[in-house]
Amino acid sequence: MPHEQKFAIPGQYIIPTHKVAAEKVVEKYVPGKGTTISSIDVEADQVKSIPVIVATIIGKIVIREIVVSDKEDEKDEADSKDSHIKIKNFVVNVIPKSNTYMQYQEEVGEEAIPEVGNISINLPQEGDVVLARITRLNPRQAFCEILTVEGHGNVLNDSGLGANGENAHRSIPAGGGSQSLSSHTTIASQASSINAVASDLGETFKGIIRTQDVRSTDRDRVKIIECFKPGDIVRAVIISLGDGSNYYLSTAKNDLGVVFARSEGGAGGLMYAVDWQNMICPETGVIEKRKCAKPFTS
Amino acid sequence: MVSNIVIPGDGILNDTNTTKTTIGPGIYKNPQTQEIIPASAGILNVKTNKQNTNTVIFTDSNSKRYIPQTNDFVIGIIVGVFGESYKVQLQDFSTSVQLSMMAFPNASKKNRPNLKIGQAVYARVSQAIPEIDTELECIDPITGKEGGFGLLDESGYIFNINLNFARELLFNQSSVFLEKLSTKCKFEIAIGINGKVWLKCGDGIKKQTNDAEDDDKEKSSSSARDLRATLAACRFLTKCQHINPSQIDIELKEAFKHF
Repeated sequence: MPHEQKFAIPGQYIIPTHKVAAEKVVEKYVPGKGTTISSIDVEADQVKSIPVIVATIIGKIVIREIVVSDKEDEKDEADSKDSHIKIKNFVVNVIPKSNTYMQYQEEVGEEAIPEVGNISINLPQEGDVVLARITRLNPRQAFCEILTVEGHGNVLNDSGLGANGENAHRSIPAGGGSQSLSSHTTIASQASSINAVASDLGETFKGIIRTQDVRSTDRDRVKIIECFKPGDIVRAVIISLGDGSNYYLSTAKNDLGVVFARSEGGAGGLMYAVDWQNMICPETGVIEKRKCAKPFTS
Repeated sequence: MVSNIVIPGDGILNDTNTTKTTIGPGIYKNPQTQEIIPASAGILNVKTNKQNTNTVIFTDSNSKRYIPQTNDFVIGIIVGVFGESYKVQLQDFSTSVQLSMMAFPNASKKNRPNLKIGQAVYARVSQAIPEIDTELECIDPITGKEGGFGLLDESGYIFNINLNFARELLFNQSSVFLEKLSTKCKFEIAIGINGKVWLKCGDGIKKQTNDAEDDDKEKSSSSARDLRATLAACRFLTKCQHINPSQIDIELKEAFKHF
């Protein structure tokens, strides 16, 4: 890697946007996540402004080369043919230490490699698969709150939004106050207390699953009460950013739907899917209707 | 039939394993163990059918807060109009319920009922699931006709009573209160299980109009009589909640003493 320092703090210059690396090789740097372009004024013969990439967050500097597709390569070559200069493109990122994506990878047992595409702010985006908890039902739609984005970890942890910002609750004991569910395993575990959520402060991202987005067949005759119950954990895909206050989610796929549910409105035992629309509690034998997610995708 | 007083948490001496048991109000089923215990203090009622195959168990207790159950007849006040449905209040400070515009006889997308905010309706609870909005309808489910449901006119008077007294008036065939009342005046009554009673004596309470005074003199005197009868009847029924059956005649006399 063509840089010396490993870490950066906000405001720290990382690298100029252009650099001559060797003879006839120019390196071009593009700001990525956690960085921006700023300019330094240099007083030589006259005042000169040099664009420089500056860190905006605390973290590790990761510089990756952009591999350009063949077509663009040719174009680039054509451009620089006269001068015979080779241009190399790099993207500069700063990855925060407490990146939830890395935490997530550690939890699921993978090696935590700083993955440039998944750093910093994990705002749910269109097409993302999320885990959401149903909060309220009405005959036309189910309201829910988004807990995690699949492959990115918990949304709240480093979204930097709300009164908390990043990990503001670290000192509060689990189960107390507005502690957020900070990992995938807590959300999935039976023991996780319903109180230990950032939703107490209304800081989660809200979503809506409309009746027509619950399943792909027979979508006019969906009864919302036979698909979800408050407290269920649902795997859903974001179909649109919706309005300012709600995302629109959909469960209209085999592997989407309720993944964790307890019987009798949360008072009973944990239930398991027996088919796509029934869940059973093995201890009491209670069967309840849900729009289940296919447990194993092959 | 067995009757005794229970308090929440008491054990119920009932063999629920052999007979199919249906639990009613005031009985709670432990979701983990499937045991049943009373959840409200009151008289325990255990009713078993003749073949000893089916038992209904519930507690009778006096409360004022109404929780909707399917098939209840209720009186509600319209508090809001949405695109396809009315928002109806069954009790003050309770969550409002939905009354779909399609839940009226002969209603269609084009032919909508014309109810206004503040009007009262007599309706049946068609769906009562705790997780979702409760729904009412103004159709008799058997005949598909009006069946006595619908708008309650404004010449009546609505007052609140305890829930168990409302049940007594509506379901107890041998209840004497209404019979006694009928000896004093003519009346029309609608009883809601939610503790609301709509009552109208004679032509009921009319709005006083200023024009055509001479003509209305007779009418207004009869209207005043109806109003007094309505208020007296209401007072009688309100009092009846708390009295001994032997005192009914005294209370009736007391309420109607100015007639």
